[in-house]
Amino acid sequence: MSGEVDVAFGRPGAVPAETTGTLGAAASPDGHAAARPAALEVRGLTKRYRRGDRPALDGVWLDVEDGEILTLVGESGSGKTTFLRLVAGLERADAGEVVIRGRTVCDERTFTPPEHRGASLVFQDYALFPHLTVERNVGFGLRRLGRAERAERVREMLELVGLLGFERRYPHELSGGQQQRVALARALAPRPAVLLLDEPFSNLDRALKARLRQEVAALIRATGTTAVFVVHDPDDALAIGDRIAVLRDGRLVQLGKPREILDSPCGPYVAGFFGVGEVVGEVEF
Amino acid sequence: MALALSVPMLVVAVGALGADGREVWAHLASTVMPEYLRNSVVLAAGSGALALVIGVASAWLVATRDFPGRRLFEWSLVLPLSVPAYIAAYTYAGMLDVTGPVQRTARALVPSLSDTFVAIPVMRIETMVVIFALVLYPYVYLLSRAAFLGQSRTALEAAWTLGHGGASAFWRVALPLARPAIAAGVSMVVMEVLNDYGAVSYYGVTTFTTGIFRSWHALGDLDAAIRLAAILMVFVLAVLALERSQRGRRRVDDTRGTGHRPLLRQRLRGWRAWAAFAVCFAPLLFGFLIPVAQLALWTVRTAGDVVDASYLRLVANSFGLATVAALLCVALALLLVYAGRLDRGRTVSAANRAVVLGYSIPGAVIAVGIIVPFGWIDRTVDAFAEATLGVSTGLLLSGTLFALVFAYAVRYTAVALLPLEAGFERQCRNLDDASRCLGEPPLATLWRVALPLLRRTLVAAAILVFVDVMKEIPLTLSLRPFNFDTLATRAYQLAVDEQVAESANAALVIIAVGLLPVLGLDRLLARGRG
Amino acid sequence: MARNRRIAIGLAAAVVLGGCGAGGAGDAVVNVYSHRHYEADQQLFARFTELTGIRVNVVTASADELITRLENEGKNSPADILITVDAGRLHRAKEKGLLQPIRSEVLETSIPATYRDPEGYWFGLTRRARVVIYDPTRVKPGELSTYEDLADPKWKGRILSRSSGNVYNQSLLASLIAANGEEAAERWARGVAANLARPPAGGDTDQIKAVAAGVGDVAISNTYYFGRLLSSSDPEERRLAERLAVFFPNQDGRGAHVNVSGAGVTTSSKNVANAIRLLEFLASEEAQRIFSEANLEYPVNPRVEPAEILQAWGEFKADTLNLARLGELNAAAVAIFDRAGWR
Repeated sequence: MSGEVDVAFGRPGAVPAETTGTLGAAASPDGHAAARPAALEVRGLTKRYRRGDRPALDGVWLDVEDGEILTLVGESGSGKTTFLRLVAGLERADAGEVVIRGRTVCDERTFTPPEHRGASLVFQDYALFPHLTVERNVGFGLRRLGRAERAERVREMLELVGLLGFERRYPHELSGGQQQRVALARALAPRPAVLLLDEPFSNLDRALKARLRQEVAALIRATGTTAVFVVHDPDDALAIGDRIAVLRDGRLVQLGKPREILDSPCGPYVAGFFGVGEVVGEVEF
Repeated sequence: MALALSVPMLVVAVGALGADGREVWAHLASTVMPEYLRNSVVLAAGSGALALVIGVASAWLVATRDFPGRRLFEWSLVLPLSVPAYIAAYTYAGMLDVTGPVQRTARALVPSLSDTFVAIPVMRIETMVVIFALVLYPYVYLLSRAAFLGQSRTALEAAWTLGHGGASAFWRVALPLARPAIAAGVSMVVMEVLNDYGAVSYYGVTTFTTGIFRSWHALGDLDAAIRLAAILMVFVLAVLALERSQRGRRRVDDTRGTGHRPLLRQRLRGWRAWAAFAVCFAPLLFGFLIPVAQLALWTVRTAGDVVDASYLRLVANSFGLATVAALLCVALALLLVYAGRLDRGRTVSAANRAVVLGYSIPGAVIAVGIIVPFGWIDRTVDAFAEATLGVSTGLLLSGTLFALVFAYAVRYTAVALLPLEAGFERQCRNLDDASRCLGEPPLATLWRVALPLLRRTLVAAAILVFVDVMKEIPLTLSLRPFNFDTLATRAYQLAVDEQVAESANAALVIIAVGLLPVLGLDRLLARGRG
Repeated sequence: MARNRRIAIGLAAAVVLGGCGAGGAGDAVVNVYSHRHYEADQQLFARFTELTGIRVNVVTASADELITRLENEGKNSPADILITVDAGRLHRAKEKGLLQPIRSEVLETSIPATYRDPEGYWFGLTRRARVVIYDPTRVKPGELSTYEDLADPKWKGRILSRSSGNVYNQSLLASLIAANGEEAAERWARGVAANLARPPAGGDTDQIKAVAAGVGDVAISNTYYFGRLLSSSDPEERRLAERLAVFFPNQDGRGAHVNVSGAGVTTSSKNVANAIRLLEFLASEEAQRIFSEANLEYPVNPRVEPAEILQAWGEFKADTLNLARLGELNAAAVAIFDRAGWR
């Protein structure tokens, strides 16, 4: 079994017997060994919203390579969104570490606020600022740039998402698809170290979705941005991700390339989730 | 910061614990306390409920329906707020009394009545409830209208598609969504009612607040007064806690940050249109037009005797103080609310509750809560300076405008805080988060996202504080510097001296100055709509 | 940050709006804390400045608030004079050590001993009698006699009075305690409360108007409220008042209840000489005339005739009880009102 998979269950450092891969961070998703550092490293991330409840996220370990697109898939309540919010810094983790581009932004002692993390989040509902035009929405995170530079970057982004000519519109004057592209442009504009997308396709119909997800993935690849997509549809996960992480009840149950997941789903849950019959391994939960 | 604002409340609380007024206390408990309690509850519940009905009904109509006069009502429904409750109380009593214009006109028109003098029993607790509701409902109106306007059509449309038409959609969707705003408005009404002194004492209705003054002034027992104030504080805390716990963890913010489509106004026709007109016109008529007309009548009669150049000074004083206080309170409230939102914990939220308490305590008690610590600071600094430097620093704080403005901040930050809290709660948290993820730290986020989105609420909050300070009596009376009069102190002192007609012109100017920002609000709303 | 901003705004406000801080030491000022807020007083202070060149700075508020303020400002208080509208509050200020004794021949000769503190801590400036206003068509001559008589069941449903929260009612009851003892006073308060035509509400003026409207037959009121109606610029008010008459109770006994509005010099005063000059001026014939004519109060200075309206009611015998007693008995009076159910 090839492919680099970090899987741990509960205890940091504990490696379960049946994983589909070996541990290792310094290799590219396509199997070629590379010296590129991981853009995002997550180690034993745990979050419990209320004391006594089952953790929403339970000791998740994973790395995302530079320029890689990882899809995080799971049913509702599996902890996907919590994962994003923890990485973005919108919630505080109970345990675990988050390292972005080699910089620890979250561990027992550190908590870097979201504005200093370099992680951009595309919200499920886009969260466009209703009082700002498209242009100003996209330029929102570019305050540190000079006027001309900023205008240029905004133009570049709008061109990228195909919304040139919409600069002066307000969000409510756009269609759902357009709003999404604005949200994407806004998140990409400040060149984030890692781009986080929360269920970007959940509001779209099937036909549109198939086209759009390719488009979005292509856009992101074109900018060379590292991205984590949270999706609940296994088709989306397979279509976009360089690798796929499957979450269930707050735990990471499998991490691998689409092929690996389809060929050797680790356990009946994963197999059932992706609609493949064959079961290779069994994992105790 | 919240702590500084809570100092007067702490003084009251500590005073109540350490108070030695046991004898007076026992006397009060055995004689008048049940009546204080009963009257306070009746007034608070009655006025609160009535203001709720008037405020929500008119706000709903104005925000979601179209009918003759709607544009006019939109802003004019706020006007009764500029009429001080005690002025309304004096005015209605004066209007209906034996020499008032009603009976006067009757005597003049009907010869057989020319010698008839009738006593209309105006000064009752029932009337008091109605008068409070009439001049205070704008709190509910302003906040709930902002909430209704801010509601996305989507939620209502969802209700319609689920088979809940007009009325049902109102009860099951619009109202619950507007609930934080409405609750904030009603809490403000209740607190104003509980700490009123001028109106209830004139109507002979005994409440906790009149009891506080009675213990302090007549019995000369400040300790007992402070205990009563502490009970009042607990009472208000209980009301606030009840509202909060009942609301629970339900979230009412707009879940769709961008899918926001404003409500489409439904045009009313025929009798429905006129009914809507009547619902909006009645509070305006009784809460504003009638009292103002009566004040104008009195002013015409007495203007020659009382109006002079010193009036300009009064106007400047009132306007200046109200402006400074409004800006200050809104700025403080904004920071407090935003700190609470960032913190998401209990500390800041508890501190904010303490600040809200300031609004529920009678102004005169806050005055004590300020005079005592400021006096102590002054004396301590003076003693220290004298001991070390051999010079007396005199009074640094006591009797200065700083003390007065500080007192306003203690008392009225709540007026700005409650609407802002409601506004923030309605606003989608994702927008904040989005800004943070785009590299903007909290204060920049506040400035670039929250402020512009809450512009209306901010202006409304500032206007509430402004108008409140314009009317303010007890703090101004007991904390002001020498030779410093405001329109309100002038009007009040003449009114309590039973020179109601002579006080009318000052009252009228208070109302007129209060109108300015209200008209500004109208223009702002008109622009915001486009 | 917010704190600094607040201070900054506060200071800015002080500079912009103020410019009228407490006038500190110096010989050209006198600082007054006053419970009186009448136009007449403004007029008198202006006249004083005109005569002496001494500027008068005033803060008006209720006496109790002013006393609290004096207490907390301590020895640095800018106030030189405390003016109240009843002797009780002056007595309280004296007890709290806020006033200092003054010797002034002018004051002692202008103001009869009954109307000033025996040790010179305070001096009455105007007198107000608490009397009965009645409708002569409904009250038979000879029916009215004393305050005590108002508790008689024959007055059931005929008496009008404001609430017991008012200091004028409190000092009336205090005078009854002084005259008849606490038990008798409590019986009296119960009796009158039972005779009231309606629950107490409104001010004295409202009680007078209610008599005119036939709600009751007699109203307990201070003299100047009735005087104001009689001299009102509104003909309807005059017409109404002219149907009514004044009765001074207890003329065969201790006399009608009288209280004073008065003043004392504060312990912290830095302008004692100026303060005394102001008090002497306020007791002077010129000032006493203005008090009486503009505000319809009775002068304390026996050399000054009351205003014409007051003279028309005739001379009356006033209770000679030393007014300091009213202050001592004030709290007892309030407690009795509470027990008697007189709101």
